Amino acid sequence: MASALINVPKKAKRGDVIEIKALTSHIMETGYRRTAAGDLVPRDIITSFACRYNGREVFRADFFPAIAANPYLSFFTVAQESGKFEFEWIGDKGFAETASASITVECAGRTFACRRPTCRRPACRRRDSGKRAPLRL
Amino acid sequence: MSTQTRAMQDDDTANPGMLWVLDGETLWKTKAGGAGKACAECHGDVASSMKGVAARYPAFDKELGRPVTLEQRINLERTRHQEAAPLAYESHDLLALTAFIARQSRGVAVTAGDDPQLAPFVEKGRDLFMRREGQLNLACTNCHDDNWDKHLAGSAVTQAQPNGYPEYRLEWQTLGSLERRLRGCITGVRAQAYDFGAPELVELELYLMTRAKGMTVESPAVRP
Amino acid sequence: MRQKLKTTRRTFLHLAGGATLAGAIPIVTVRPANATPAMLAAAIRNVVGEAPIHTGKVKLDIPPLVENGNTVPMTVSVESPMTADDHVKSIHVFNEKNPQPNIGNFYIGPWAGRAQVSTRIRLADSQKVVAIAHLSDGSFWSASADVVVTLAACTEEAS
Repeated sequence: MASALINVPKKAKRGDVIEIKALTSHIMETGYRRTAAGDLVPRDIITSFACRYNGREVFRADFFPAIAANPYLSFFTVAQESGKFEFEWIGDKGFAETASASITVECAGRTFACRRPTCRRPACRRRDSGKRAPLRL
Repeated sequence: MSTQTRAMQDDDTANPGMLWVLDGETLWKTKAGGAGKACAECHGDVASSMKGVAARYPAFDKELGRPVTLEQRINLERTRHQEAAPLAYESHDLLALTAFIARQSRGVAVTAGDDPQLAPFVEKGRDLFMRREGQLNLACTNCHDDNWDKHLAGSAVTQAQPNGYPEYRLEWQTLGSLERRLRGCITGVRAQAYDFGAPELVELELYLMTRAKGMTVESPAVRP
Repeated sequence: MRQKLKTTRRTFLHLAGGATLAGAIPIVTVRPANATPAMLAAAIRNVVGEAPIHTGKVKLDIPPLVENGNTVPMTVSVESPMTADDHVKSIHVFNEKNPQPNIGNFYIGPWAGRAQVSTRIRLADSQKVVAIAHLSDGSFWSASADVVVTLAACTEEAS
């Protein structure tokens, strides 16, 4: 069952700000509705969402019943290195769902743009006099 | 419909109906029934084989001698060729397959009802559209032809075009078929709604599609 | 066959079309007691504490008249360079009249590049939506928007 629809650009240049969209299938039952008999329909929502980029958490969200059914999220992150985005939704009644998407991040080709000490681009290495700042996140 | 709703519909990465389309894609490739066949085995690549199909449904079925909707066609294929049980109306699987197939017709102009064999059924559908019913004694035409540009208690009346079904309706917070919407409307005028798959609903859907002739298919649409 | 449940003006009957829900339980939605502006203030205080809340920097993009309160697209963006020294740590969104004052909390950081989050929310009634951003220097900035929500005209009964 396709429970999630993820949109991550397949390719990006290092340093680009990219938009990530995550849509997942969930009823997000508020816990405030009642059946015809008058009984309260128990709450059943996704309570949190997290996105990890090569293992590092880059976005987290707490959801409340006011988030609409089939929750949609769009957020941004800086493309640093090629790898994987991992998405996780956790909710009531033990709900847990994951999804992932890969990204290829290319060197922007600008001197010192990525500040990567291990950059293997010959032009960058030649200019590297050891004064580069380390990669900061 | 507002620009935000239109934007939600046009963006395949944000359109909630796409969740059903993805499920439909999986079902398309899944073997089913006694014959152990998947839709893909006979119909091949969906984009080429199903393009334009939703735009000409409801279509005439020779064996039954009457029009059938896309949902009914899917079930007929299942029973006739896959030896599988038909899927229940409004079930997740049937909606997913319908949405998946209808998605292939996005942008295609509606041509339903062109078949001359359908003419008597289109007439029946038109009669149903024009006939007053229910405790409120309203016909579809009273609102959707005569007052389509006005609002009913904050909701736009609209022309009631069927070119986006199955659609994600914000009111339902889920994907639903045109028959569900029709039953809801009929209940809304306080009349007894026809059952899913009833010939009256099929004829009404057929008439609505002929009325929408020339509009392009927008499935899966997003509507309030 | 209309059941009259309560006599408040805002009550409406909403029966979900059966088969899409597991077990096809017909649902009647009677609007529960609304949150009050005091609950909203308390929820904000929970996040902000006693710190002052400045107006500005935050942009809350939400349609002033929604087509359907069940799904309202909303975008919150905050002007910020998003560097290690000056960035948005989190964005909190609240509402005034839903049964609960919280809508969502979003945690970002300098790695986000842009402080902007979009989602879809539910609004039970015409009300104010408030977004508060927590910056790396500890300050809080807010923006609010008034949204008009109308109820659907037609009802649907479970089969």
